[in-house]
Amino acid sequence: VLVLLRSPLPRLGVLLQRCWGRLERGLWPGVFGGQSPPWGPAVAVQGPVLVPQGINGAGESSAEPPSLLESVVWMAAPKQRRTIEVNRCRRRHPTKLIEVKRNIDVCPECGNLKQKHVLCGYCYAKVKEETRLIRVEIYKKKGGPFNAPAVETVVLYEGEKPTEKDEGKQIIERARKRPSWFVQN
Amino acid sequence: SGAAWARGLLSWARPERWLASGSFFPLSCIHTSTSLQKIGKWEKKNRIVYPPQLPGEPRRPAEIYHCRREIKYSKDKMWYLAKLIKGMSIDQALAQLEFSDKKGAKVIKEVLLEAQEMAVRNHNVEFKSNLHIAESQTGRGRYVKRLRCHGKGMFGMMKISRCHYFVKLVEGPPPPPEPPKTGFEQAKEYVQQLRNRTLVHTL
Repeated sequence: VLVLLRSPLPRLGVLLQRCWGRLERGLWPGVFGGQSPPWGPAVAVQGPVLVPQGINGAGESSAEPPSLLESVVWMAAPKQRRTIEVNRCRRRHPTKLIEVKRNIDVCPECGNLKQKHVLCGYCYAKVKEETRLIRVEIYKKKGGPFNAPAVETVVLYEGEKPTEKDEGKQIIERARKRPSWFVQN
Repeated sequence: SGAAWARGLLSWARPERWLASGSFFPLSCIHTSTSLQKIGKWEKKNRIVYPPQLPGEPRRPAEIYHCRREIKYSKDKMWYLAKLIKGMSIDQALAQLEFSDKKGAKVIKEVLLEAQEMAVRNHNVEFKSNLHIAESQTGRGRYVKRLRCHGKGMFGMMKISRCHYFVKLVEGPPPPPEPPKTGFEQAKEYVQQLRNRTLVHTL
């Protein structure tokens, strides 16, 4: 099997040839921004020009087709280079600086930092890990996907027995001491 | 005598003697610097040793210099974080950086924790919370130019920028922020400048 590998970057010469070809064929009219095409004669008009013409051609010469300079859209471009002083004023303006956050507190449970309106990251991670282990136990009990029983689940830790209230419920055993934050009923 | 010389040479060239320390390169007296050719100026600042202070002098606060080189982040973006924590106490700075969404915040937090540990271990700082950030600056790392491919076979050159981060921790509570200059102060200064004018090249 023959595999033809084209080089990922076109070589500079090939690229320039393509660009030049396009320019010659007029497929890139807006390349120079309409300011001056490379090969057009530069027309400098200052005020009303009295072109010596015959009496017959006087009426026709006044209505000329609009030149290339008027039909092209002018794009906005910076006129002067922005100095570093001006750039610094813009970049270091107080609105652009990072604000000091005043909503940071200490979590009363674990002592880590937390934002006032957000759960403590450490406590959340702790609970998430325990939940993951409980789910692993549930999966082991189910014996396969899509076998979830349509009853409540009760999680019991070491040394705990199911009470009368937990009659019809699914009981999951976890082989560790009950964590302090997981209150039993 | 030739045999004795050869034996002496071989006895000097005993491999067991070289591998006694267990390291592969036993010639530790010769500095074979390959990558760590330039130890930067900021790292050298930790090495200065002041003469012992006289009993009457006020206690010189401990200064700890730490930096991290070639962090994959832009120096301009890192500057905003450095400006944020300038002049704060280390606890406040760590709190602000923990809840900042910027990529550089994680890096600066690691640097601050390392510096705090260094301070307690090596620089005889008693309380790790009793530090404040005197200076925090960013520097330009090595840039690498790469090709960025656009459509129609066009390409541009982009630069992959890296930065350094420098921090100086000083023992003691953070200095109080300077009060903003009032108009009255500015007016007084202006009047003083006018009064300081003298006549030159006269009697």
